[in-house]
Amino acid sequence: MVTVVVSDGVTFTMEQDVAFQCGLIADFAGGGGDQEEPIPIQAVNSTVMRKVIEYCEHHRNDPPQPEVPEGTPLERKDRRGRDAWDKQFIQVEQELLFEIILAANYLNIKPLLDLGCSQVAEMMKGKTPAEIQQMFNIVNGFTADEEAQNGEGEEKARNLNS
Amino acid sequence: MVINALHLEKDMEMKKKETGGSKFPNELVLLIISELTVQSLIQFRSTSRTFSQLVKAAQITPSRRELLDFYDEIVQSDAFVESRAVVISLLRPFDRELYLAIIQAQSGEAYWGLPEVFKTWILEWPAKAVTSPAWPGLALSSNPCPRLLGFALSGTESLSGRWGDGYPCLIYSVLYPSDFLREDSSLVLGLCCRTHEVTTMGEAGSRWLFFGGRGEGTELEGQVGSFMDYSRVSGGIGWIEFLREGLERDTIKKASWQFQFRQY
Repeated sequence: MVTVVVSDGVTFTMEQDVAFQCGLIADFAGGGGDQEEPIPIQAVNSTVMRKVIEYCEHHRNDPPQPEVPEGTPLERKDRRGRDAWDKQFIQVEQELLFEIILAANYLNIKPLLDLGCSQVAEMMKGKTPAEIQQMFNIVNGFTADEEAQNGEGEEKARNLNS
Repeated sequence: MVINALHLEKDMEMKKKETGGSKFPNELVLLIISELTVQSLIQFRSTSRTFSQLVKAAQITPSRRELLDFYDEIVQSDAFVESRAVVISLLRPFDRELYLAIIQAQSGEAYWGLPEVFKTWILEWPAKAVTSPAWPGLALSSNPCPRLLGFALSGTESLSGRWGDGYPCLIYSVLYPSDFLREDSSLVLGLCCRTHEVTTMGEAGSRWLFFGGRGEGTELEGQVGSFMDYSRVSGGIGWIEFLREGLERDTIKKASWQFQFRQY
């Protein structure tokens, strides 16, 4: 069993094959044997950790993902192992989705990171630049000078891109 | 302590600026970019300077990169700007995934699949920026603007025998998205078929044809444009070039064929 303690002080205990899907935990506890001290995970809170564990439990029996060499130009990403459950699982509020992505990155869970990123892409479909700015908290993406420079092109793009 | 806290706040603000105001580190934004459709990429890069630079640097599929570059190229051209009013007035919504599914179902047994860049074009291209009559969402009448069509009715070539350049070709399959036939249109568009041909270099390749013509019975008559799956054959024109020809008046003749095609 592996025990972790997250930023708001909650501890989670899970079996090794669940926990070790997080690269970070696997690295941390890799020596084998039961951990005595809970592993501190300061960058993740309990709400997000609960989701992460739910994901890891569902995928505990998945075969390991084949390594794709960095820089391989893929036409369509390999969607193996992504099922209806995943789609349902990742249907969450944007705030939580972003936190799950940050957690998956921090904990080093590649398939969850990919799933989260493709959900963000899904949410972005049909959104206007203003809506995207809101999504990513961008107040002023271009300086006044750049705005003037790009003005015409941007305006064109906005009108045509639908 | 107070001073420290202020410093921290300033630090955070600086960080925010660095990531285009988002709380995501750039490496994660790059991951998200790699999942975006062509339409989303165009929108996304217009939201901030940082994002615009990240889209340039990101690893996206070759098809999306080609289409994005092509978009940037054509929005500058006069022909593009001039043809927009006509194009936009002819646009009708259609189910992109369904269209592709129909075509793919028909090419299921064929040796080669649809070219990737064509699939991406159908699924992700901004409709208002369409430059080709092959777009299934264009309600073209029998006499569309020639510049828009990119092909003119001239010359006569028999498709079943040889191409104009004399190379033999064999038609492998005809992809016929019948669900997209419109009652108000006398043109069949987006009909795509594949041929197999041998070039002077001795290479076998696939040529994709687009028909625009009357679809009555088993005979089709009208215009056709062709492009090659150039990843397999050298020398042929690719989909992007095919789209580009739709815009360039000077090259219209090159792609003009009149033909009769009988479906067996």
